Amino acid sequence: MLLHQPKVDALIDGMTPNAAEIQARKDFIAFTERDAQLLKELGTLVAPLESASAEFLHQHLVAYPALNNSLSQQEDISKLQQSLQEYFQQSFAGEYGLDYIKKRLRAGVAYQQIGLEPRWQLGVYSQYLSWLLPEIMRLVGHDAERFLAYSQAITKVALFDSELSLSAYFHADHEMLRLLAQVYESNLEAVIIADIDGNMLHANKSVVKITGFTSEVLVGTTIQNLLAELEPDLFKGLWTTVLDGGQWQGEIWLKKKEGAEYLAWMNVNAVKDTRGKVTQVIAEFSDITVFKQTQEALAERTEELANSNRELEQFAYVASHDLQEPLRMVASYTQLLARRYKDKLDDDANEFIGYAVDGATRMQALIIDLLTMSRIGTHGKKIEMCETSVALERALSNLRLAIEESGAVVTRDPMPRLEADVSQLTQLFQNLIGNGIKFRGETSPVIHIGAEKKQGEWLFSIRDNGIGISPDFFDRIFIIFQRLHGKHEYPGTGIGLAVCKKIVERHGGKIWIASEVGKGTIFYFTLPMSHGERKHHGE
Amino acid sequence: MESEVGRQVEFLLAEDKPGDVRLTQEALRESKISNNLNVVKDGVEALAFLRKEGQYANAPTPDVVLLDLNLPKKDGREVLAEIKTDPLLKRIPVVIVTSSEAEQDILKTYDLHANCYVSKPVDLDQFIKVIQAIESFWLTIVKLPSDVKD
Repeated sequence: MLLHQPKVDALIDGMTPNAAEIQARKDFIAFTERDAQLLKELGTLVAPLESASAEFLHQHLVAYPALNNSLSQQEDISKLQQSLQEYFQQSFAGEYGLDYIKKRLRAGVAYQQIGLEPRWQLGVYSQYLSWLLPEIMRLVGHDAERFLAYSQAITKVALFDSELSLSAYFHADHEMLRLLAQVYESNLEAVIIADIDGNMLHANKSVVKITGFTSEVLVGTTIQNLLAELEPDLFKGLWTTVLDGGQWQGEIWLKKKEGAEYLAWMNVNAVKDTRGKVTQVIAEFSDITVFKQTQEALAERTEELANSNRELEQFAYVASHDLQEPLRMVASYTQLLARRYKDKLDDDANEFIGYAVDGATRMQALIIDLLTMSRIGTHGKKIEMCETSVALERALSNLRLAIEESGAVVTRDPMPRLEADVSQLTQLFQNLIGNGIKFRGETSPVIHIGAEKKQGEWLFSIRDNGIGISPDFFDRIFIIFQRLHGKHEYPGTGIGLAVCKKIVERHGGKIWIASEVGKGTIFYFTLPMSHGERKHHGE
Repeated sequence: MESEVGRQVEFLLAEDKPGDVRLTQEALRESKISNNLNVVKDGVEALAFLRKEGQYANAPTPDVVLLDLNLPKKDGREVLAEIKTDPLLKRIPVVIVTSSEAEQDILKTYDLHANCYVSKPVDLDQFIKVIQAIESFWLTIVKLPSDVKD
C-alpha cells in the first residue's frame, strides 16, 4: 500500500518537532553548534569525495540480492542514488534545522514506502562511516585531535539522521497499519480474525451489529458459537479447506445472540506467515436474508410476468384461430345468399349484403394480424448468429413487385453479423421498407438502409422521401390497429409497425421514428451486438 | 367431363360443421365431374367408413379423403396418422382442408404424410375455387392408386 504525496506531506507535518523538541533531541546525543561548524568545515575538505561517496553507497546497496528484490523498479534505484548524493551535500552544509529535519523525515517515509528496512538503513550508515573516516584521516594528515573532533561530529550527525529517518519509517509503517485497521473496523462487512483453532481474536463493529454480541463477549470464544444449529458439518469442511491454505466462500446459516438464524454470505481466507504457515483465519460475512428475499420475490414476479405474457399470447392465438371459423360461416353464407338470390333481392338487400361481406373480410384481416402478432412471441425461431444482409435481401426480394411498380431506388450500407431470428428480421426490414414505398410522395421512392455501430449496439435506419408523419402521431404509429389514413387513401389494418416493435423488443432492441411531413421519414431500430463483438469493444 | 377413374368419383369428407359440409356440397354441385360426396361427422366415423365397419359395411372406397383437423372424438391428426400407417388405407390421398394456417399444423400434418394441406378461404368464391381445384387436380391430373389395377 503506497501513500499519495498529499498524505506523505501531512504525515511529515504531523511528526515534525518544534524548536524545543529539536533542541532536546540534539542535546540527547550531544550534537552541538560546534559539531555543526566542524561538519561545515569538513564539508569543504571532503567536497571532492561527493560523487565517489554516492557511487560507493550505491554499489554497496545493489550488492545485496534481497535489497534488489525490494527495489524492483529501476526508478526507485535511481531515486535512491540521487538522494544519497544530496544527503552527502546536506550533511556537510552545517545547517541542521527544520529544513534538514524534514528532509530526513521524508527520506524515512520514502524508505518505508519502497520497503527499505531499518537494518539496511543502519547498514548503509555503518558502511558509509567505515569508508568515509579513513578518507578523512587521509585528508587531515597526522592531526589526531582534529580527526577525533571530525569523527565525533560525523558520528553524531549520522545518529541524529538515523534517529529521524527511523522514527519517520516507523511512523509511516504505523500509519499504514492504522489505515488498514480503520478499513477493517469500518468495513460494512462483518470481519472476524480467528486463530487456527477458530478462537476469535478480533471482531469488527459490523460483527457486533449483525450478531448482537459485544466484541468483548466474542473475543476468546470459538467462531462456532455464531453458527446455526444445522451448520457444524459444513463448517468443519470449510475450516479444513481454509487451513489447507485454500479459500472458502458461500452461503451459510448463522445465529444471532437472541437465537434468530439468518443466511449469510461468507468469505473465509487463511493468513500465512512469511514461511507459508497458516497463522490466522479471516472470516468476512454479511447478512443476505433481505437480499435473498428480494431476489426470490423478483424471480417470482418475473416468472409470473412471463407466464401471464405467455398466457396472453396463447389466448390471442387461440382466440384469433377460433374466431376464424364462425367468421368464415358469416362471410361465405352472406355471399352464397347474394349469389343465389341476386335477381330476387332489391338494391337495399344487395347493399346490406355488400357491407356484411366487407365487414367479415376486414375482420378476417384483423384476426390474421392478431395471429401474426401473437406468433412473434410464441412461435419465434431461435435467436442465433446470422448475416443481417441475408434478411435484408430476402425482404427486398419479397418486395420486388412493389419496388418495380413504384420505381423505388433502394440503397444500403454494408450489413453486420449479429444474433437474431432471421425470419423475423426479414419481416422487420420488409415492413419498414414496405412502409416507405407505400407512403410515398409525388416522386418515386428513394430508400436507404443504414447500419452503424453506436454505444455497443447496432443502429439501423430506414430513410425514405415519402409523405412523412407529424410528430403528434409518433407514439401512436407503433400501436396495433392504429391507422393515420383512411382506408381509401392507403389500405391496411395498421399492424405493420406494431409487428416491427414487437420483433425489435423480442431481440432486446428499441425502435423509434424521426420524420417531417412532406420530407420523409427515418425509422431507427437498435439490435444488440453479438457477445463476441461486445467483448472486443471492452464493454 | 370424365374423371381419370372413368366412373363416378367418391369423396369422403370428414367435417363436423354443417356449414362447411354444405359449402363443400355447393362447390361440388357446380362441378362438371360426376361425383359423390360421403360425409362423416367425427374421426371415429371416418375410420369406420374407411375400414367398412358396422353401418359402413357397404361403403365405397373413397378416391380422395377431405379431412378437417378439428374433429370430435378423434381429431384429424389422429385420423391421418391411422390412415397413413394402415397398409390397406395408406395409399388413399388425404387432403387436409382446415381453417388453421398455423405453421405447426402444416408441418405436423405433412410429417404424418398428408398428401396436401389447404386452408379454407373466407371468401365464398375463393372457397369454391379451392374445392374445385382440389377436385380437378386429384381427379383429372394425377394418377390415383385406385386407377391402377392390382
